[in-house]
Amino acid sequence: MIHTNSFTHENPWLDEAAQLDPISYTIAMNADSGRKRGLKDGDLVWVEMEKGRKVKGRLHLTEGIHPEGLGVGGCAGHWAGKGLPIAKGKGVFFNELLELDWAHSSPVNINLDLCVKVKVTRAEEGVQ
Amino acid sequence: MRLGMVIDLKRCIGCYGCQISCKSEHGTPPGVFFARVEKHEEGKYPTVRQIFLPVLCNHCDEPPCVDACPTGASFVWEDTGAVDIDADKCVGCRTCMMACPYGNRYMNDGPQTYFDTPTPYEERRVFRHQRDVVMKCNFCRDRVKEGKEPACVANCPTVARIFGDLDDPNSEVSRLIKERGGFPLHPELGTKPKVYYLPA
Repeated sequence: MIHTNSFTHENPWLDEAAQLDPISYTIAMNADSGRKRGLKDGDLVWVEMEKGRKVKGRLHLTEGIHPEGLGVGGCAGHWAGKGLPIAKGKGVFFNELLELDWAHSSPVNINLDLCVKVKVTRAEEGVQ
Repeated sequence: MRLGMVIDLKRCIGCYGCQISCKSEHGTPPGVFFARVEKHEEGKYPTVRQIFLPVLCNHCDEPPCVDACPTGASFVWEDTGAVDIDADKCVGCRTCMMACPYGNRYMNDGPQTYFDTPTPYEERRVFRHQRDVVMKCNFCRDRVKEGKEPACVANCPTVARIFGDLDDPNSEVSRLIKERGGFPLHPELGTKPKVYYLPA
């Protein structure tokens, strides 16, 4: 996982190196937690928050994460095709899951709260 | 003189610097990287660790790729023991790629640029390489001739890669292999690699 913030995803050399690391563009979940939910490594999943907003991504089961956490790499999931041909479609853009209001912003630096309660379910392959 | 490399797995932090600096030095086309970093995870939560394994051509002492080559394009340099390819003699049959058990040879028949139009860098460095032949790491022969270290060795921020003469018992590579128990990858294959790893 060698990306930093968002624009490094457009660098073709860094993208090539990141593809060698399984956690770069996937959603990392604890292996035991994944198995308990009937999920396998490489499954396409929906990550849905309480209000119904959801994002789709590929799962990567690993031992190196807390059983109750999900790891999504950086500021990925770029969608602009013309301007970002290398970065488009790689990774998960999880901002959809966050609440954008003052109650969920840090008073010091206006960072958004990343603690979101989500549920993970398997998605259909080949369906939008 | 047999030039070899020692990679200290205790020091490697998986920064991919060797992969990128090799790419930058040689201008390899998309999908081709002479040096790459593999990742391995071991343990069970919460005692987990990641080990990064930088791999590259092992410049074996008994290279199966040289034996397999029908034209003599794959050869061993007499002065350093490094394995190289003469692009003019290579016919692109890929037998060497099948012979190499480590998968460190690449065919140059893919796209040459990442974007629609080539960048000035790509025009100077990537287009130098002959198309439709096999390419591989040559221990940065041009740099070594000038007295420099290979790009991946010079770039490593944690000094995890050491380069030197394996025939000299007092060189750093020889001492490290002896003192820390250096081992090559897949010694049972019998190719006698010249790249050794120090245990993590």
